[in-house]
Amino acid sequence: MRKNVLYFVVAFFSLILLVRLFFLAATGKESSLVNGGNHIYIKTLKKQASRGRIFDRNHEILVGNAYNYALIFNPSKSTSIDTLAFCKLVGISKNDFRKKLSKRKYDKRSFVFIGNISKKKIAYIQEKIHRFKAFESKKNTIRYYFKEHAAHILGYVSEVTDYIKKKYKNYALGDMIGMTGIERYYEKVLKGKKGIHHKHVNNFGVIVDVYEKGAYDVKTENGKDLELTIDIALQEYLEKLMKNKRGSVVAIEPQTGEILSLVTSPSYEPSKMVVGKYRKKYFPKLIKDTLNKPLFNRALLSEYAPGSVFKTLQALIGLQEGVISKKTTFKCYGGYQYGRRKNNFMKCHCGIYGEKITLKSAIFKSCNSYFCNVYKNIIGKYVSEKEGLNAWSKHIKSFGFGNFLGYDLPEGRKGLVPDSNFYNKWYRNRWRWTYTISNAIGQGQLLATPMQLANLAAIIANRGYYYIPHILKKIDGEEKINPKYLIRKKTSIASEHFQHIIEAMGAVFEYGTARYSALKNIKICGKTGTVQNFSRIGRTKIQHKDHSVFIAFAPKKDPKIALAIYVENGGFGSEIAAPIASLAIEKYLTGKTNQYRENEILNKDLSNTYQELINLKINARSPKNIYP
Amino acid sequence: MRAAQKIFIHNDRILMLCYFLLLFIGCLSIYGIEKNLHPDMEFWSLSNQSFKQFFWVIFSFILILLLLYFLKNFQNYSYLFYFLGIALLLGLFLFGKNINGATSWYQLGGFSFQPSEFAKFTTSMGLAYFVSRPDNIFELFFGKFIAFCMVLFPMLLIILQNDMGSAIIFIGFIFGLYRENVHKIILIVPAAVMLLFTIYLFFGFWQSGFIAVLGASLFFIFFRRLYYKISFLLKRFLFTIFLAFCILKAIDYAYVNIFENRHRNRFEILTGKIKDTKGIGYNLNQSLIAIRSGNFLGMGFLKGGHTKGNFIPEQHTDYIFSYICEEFGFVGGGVVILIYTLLIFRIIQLSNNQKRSYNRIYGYALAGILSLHYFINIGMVCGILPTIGIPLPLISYGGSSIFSFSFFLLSFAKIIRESK
Repeated sequence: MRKNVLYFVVAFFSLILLVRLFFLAATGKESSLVNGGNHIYIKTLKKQASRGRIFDRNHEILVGNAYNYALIFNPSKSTSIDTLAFCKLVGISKNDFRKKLSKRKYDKRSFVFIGNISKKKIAYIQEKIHRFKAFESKKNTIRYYFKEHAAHILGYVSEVTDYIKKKYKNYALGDMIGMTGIERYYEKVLKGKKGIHHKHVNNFGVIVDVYEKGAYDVKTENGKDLELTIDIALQEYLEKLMKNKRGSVVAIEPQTGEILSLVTSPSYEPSKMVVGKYRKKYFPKLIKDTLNKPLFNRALLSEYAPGSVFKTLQALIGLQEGVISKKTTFKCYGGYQYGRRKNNFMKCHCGIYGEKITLKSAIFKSCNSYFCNVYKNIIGKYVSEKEGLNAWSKHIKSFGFGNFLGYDLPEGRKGLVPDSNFYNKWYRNRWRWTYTISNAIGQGQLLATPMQLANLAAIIANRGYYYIPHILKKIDGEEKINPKYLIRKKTSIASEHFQHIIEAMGAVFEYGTARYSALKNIKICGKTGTVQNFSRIGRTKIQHKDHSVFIAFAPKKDPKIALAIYVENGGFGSEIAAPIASLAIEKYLTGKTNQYRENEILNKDLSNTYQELINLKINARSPKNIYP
Repeated sequence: MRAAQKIFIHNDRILMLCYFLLLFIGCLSIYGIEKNLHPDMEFWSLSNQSFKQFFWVIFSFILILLLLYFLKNFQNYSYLFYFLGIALLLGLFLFGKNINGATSWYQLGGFSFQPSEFAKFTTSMGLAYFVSRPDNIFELFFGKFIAFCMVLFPMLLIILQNDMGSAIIFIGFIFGLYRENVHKIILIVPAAVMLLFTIYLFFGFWQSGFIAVLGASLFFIFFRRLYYKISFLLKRFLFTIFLAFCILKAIDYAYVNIFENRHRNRFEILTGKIKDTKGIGYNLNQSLIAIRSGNFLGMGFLKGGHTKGNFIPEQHTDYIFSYICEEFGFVGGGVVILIYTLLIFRIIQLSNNQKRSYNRIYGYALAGILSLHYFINIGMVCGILPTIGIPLPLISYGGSSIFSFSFFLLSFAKIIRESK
């Protein structure tokens, strides 16, 4: 017994230790980083990829990157410093300095001491910062806008918040993400790939080595540069013209479907939307402006009645359906009587009383009666009214109305093309074609976005086909357009019918509604529109000043540009929209502009009109009107 | 050449194999830790700890061989060694240097040494010499008392120098004393104290008293010797309970009044009463993480992430086992434990076969001290024993420790060889 006691004791000790060690080894986690091991000694550093730049079609830079500086404090290098000199250099008080240091007393990792320093200030600080070894400057990239235009096209970027992080994968807090416009639609291209570096850190969090010689690292890939189809000079000019007016201008190159400009007014200044101190003040201001809605992209999102510009399409449908020909005439007696009652009468302002009106003069004088007849004949061609209406709406839909066009911008609306189903719901199956007579002149239930109207102009210019409008030209200098933008889309109208319409649209500038806006050298084809608009307040229906609409393309023979202009409450189509169109075409094709006409447009300030409109609504809402 | 033959052939081979293996593992581990922390370090430089260790291993090996060669019968100088050890310990009160709260170091120029390490083998020598006296004074109670005092005196000096860890190791002598026919109470009391202390730590004073009573009654009901009278058994039972309560009260008093707060913290972290992985429990927590991340096969030589990040402070001394487990896993750690077990078993076996009581006691002292050393160190690193700052013999960094254990082992091998 006495001989063997120590054997037992040692065996007991060893057994305990082995069991304990086995238990520890068995509960140990998989140590490889690939298996999601979380190790105290691995520090993952992420290197932001610089976001791609954006150019216009002439390779003029629109958006680039700029740097924003921060002062980093590295406690592991800290030595005794001249606090007073440092505070003086950086421009903070001694108390602030102490407060900032005491925040991280025991943490030896470096942290941002002062952020958001301007380039000017950092240049001054950098000269003397070498005296304070614990401090170093670091730059962050932010968006930099070279032009204060095209805000709605370019869109803005935001810092990724918790909400966005949950919604999209592959984003971390503090990353940048495009919120609207190009920045959002081509986010994947612009974003690039973030670099991930694994470092080995010691117990103070100081980097000692590269982890596993960089076996798990990911290289940084910078975002790709985009070249847009936008012509920034035209865009700039149009934005200038549209100042103090609400509305939008869309210009398309008909042969390719490239969007030349996309103006929305009122707009905002993109440089103030850069993440930083401006954004905090500027963004709420824009959001709170519910009257002007500067963040609302009218060119893509607003749905208006197209008005008289729709008459061109109506005539095309008539020709295609064979209910009218080039020589068909109707008479106009100051309007069109579509029912027995006295108020079943649509007024007409063409000014040709009781004479035969041809198709051409109907278009350039914008005769309502003529197109009511055309509409009646189209519907009447079919056995039932429903079939007639369906055939009519089918033609319209082939022009891209009533659906998303498919352009490469993240926003959009369908618009509305009514068909028999729509009216079945609307009137609960009890309706006649006369109920829909407003459709004949582009009023009524018909809705279209300015982009769709511009597309209509492009289709007419192309004589019956279109390419889906798109805004991207090149990625990193290479033409890598989505193949769907290269497909020629045909409408249901035969191309020979377009000639008549183009002739008539040319006449609009010669002796029609827009004759005062004609240009000497360039033959423009266009069509004015004047859209009545109402707002319902309670039971009363208030009529506001008309919207001024215009579609055009030029030159007549070989169209280079097709436009749609929509100015809210601008009056007659010939009043504002047509001059803007002619100025834009002149600017785009020749580079020069008619100074007199330009000034006239620039001086037209519609803000009073809008103010009246607002007052009208406010008054209408007053308790006196609601509870009569 | 003959010297080499003596060491490797005439000496006990298992003993020597284990000894050199442990030294090799120690040097390799310290080299690994150094290389991890400073990847661009050079081995041949004095600022490098692994080189220092290597140097110390070689240096002390040669020194010991010379010493043993010139002192043909070093047993005869046992008292000289013993009093030299005591003198060194006493000298600490005058010239000692305070490192980490313990005054247990002499600082001589560039290097420092720890006499408490030497005291382990000097005390063994003195004790062995005293017990093996030809006049058999050890048979008497007085002799046993003297022997006790010979162990307790250096132990007390070390406690006074605030080096509890080294002092606890002196408990290892009880195995040798027990082997030499001291009453078994010498084993039972420390074991009972340990057991009661463990229970006390988890349950507190009254609860552990209740557990002790329960345990004692169960023992007397099931394991009583039937030939004893009931009254005798009852007396014995009552005495046991009385003793248990005395021990418990003493433990309670010591724990509350004598122990300092830092000592109490170490126990309470183990029992889970304090949960702290950043302050006082930092070392233990990091050590456990390192051992766990080694898994069964380890992360590979020079690939230990915790070692590289210097997460375990002073890893080359007391916590060196965590390094072995991180880079070589359960296999590496298990091999180290098995080598120790083999070494100690061999020492016990050899000493049991000895006819001369000096050799026997010397061997038992070595075995007892080694077993306590390795168990306490690895137990601390694995989180089953409280933090007690003692090195892992023959592996941890430190010249004094290497020298004293090498001397202990080699001198034991020598007397074994000569007694054949």
